[in-house]
Amino acid sequence: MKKIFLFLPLLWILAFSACQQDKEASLTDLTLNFTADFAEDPLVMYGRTYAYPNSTDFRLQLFQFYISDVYLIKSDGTAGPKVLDVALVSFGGVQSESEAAQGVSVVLKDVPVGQYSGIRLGLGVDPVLNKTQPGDYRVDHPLSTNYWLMSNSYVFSKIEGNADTDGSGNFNAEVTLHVGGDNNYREKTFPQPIELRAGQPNSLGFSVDLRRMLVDDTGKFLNFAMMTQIHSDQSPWAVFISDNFMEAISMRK
Amino acid sequence: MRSIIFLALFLASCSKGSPGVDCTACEETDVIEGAYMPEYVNLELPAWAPEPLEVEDNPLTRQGIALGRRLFFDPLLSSDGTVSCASCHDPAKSFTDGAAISTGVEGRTGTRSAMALVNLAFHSNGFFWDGRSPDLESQVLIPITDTREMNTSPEQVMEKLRRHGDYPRLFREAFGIGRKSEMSFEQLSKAIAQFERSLTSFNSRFDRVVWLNEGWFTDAEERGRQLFFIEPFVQIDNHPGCSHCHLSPLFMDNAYRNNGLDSVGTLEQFSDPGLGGFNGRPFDRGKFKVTTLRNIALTAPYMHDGRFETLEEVLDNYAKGGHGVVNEDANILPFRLDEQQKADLIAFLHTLTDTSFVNNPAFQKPVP
Repeated sequence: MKKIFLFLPLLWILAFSACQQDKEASLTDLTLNFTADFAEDPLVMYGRTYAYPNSTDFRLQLFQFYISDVYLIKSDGTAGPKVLDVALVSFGGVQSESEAAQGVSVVLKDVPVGQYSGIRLGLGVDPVLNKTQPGDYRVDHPLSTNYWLMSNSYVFSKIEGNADTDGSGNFNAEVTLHVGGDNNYREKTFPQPIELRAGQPNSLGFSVDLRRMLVDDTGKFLNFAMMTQIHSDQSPWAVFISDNFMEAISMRK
Repeated sequence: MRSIIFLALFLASCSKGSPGVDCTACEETDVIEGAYMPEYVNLELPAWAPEPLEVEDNPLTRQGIALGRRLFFDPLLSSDGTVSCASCHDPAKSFTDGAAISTGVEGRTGTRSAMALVNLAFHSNGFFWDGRSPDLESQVLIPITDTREMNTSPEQVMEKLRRHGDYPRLFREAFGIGRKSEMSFEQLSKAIAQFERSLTSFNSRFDRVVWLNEGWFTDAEERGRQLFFIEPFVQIDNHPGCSHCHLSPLFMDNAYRNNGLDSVGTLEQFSDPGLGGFNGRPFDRGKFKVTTLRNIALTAPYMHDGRFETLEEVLDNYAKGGHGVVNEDANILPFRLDEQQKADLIAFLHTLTDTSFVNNPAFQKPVP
């Protein structure tokens, strides 16, 4: 009888170990890597000047956005496993071309392995999470900051920099474009075969063309000579940026 | 079955051992008597406060905080016994010292103003104006060893503490050591960090009005609140934009920014390079940590070098919109406020004063 009691914990350990191995075999890590450009040029904070419509030059200080509600898409086109609640993708620390090439990565743990037909990203903070507040999170959580108390919304994206609107060489126009509000939340599905395997690095790459967020395909653009600040959910230009975001982001092959 | 019990006892005894100390060489007087019964505590926080960072290897205990508090107020930590942490971090001033530049031993002065110690448990991106310390535990070493501040060394401090009448017992109560030779600077740092982590402030009038619906703002305070937080639908020129960096509920954003104080031709010309001086990144020169505005009315003078005596001066400077330096934060925009609006905004800033924080008996100098 004593021997049975002695072996029971051993059996439990062996069984637990086997289950753990199964779990590890069915789950893997997935890295979402984001790079940003301004048209053809890598997006670098401070150190580069970008040509912008209306003979304007533009320098960046900050470009960041939230992604949320990220799902892998099953082969039948329906939503598969949810792999991410929310993450803040910030290029604020990108100060060189090598850092721009490296991009910003979001590492997802314990993603089910398998074959998928695509991935869906929420661009911004999805409406459910957008009802929460910073006090609901630990201080290193992405939603512990970037909150508009007066608008009851997170700031989904920030584009900040300086523009030279008169060709003087002085970048006197401070550009701060802050967009939030449920009406500016967007979802985009990237249909592309995805195979996630256990025991090996899995990575999906995304590119964002910041210029395309500010200039649509008809040539309409946010004119920094007329407007340099958007701090709103309702501004038509906030909606313009949000709509353009759908076209500005693409999945790298 | 008996062998299993012996094995368990053996493993338990192994885990209790104090690393790095050869106790066969310890003298009898080295032994510290007393109990070790740590009482783990959680910070008491309101629902609107974020969850603080977890520090797995330094959990808060009543005994650890008590030791940290005793050390924080003790000038024994300086070379000549004249300067304590509290010399530059006075609870009555929200743990600042009222000086533009703080003074250390023998009247030596540094280059920066003492930072307020408020809600440090929520700092997730480094400490000091230039972010040089990643956590509170490592922060402790710097003022103690800085020749302009406390001007001593970990070895000298620990030698004094081991000879002290109370500290060996307090270290034992906090960390369970059994001998004076086991007292370490790491334990000292952890204890002070625990005390500093306990300094939370969420009981200002702003908190009570906004989050608890207790009372109302005055008309001036309410107008000031709107100026502080407002994000206008259309572009206007009386938009100070305070809340871009000083976000509720912490009224800071854990970021480092060039807030437009200095006009320099090149980034190399900043007399104090701030973050860039620490991390070596050129475009981070002239950036300093965004401070909380909680208790801001108590922490004059302002900025990293204490250049502004009053909140009025701070507002007037921000209203100028900076100097156009390449890495100057884009949110530093010129704005126009009339005298009434400035008074309103300052009235609102005063609602962030938490008198229960500065008067909290648990944060005052302990009676030995």
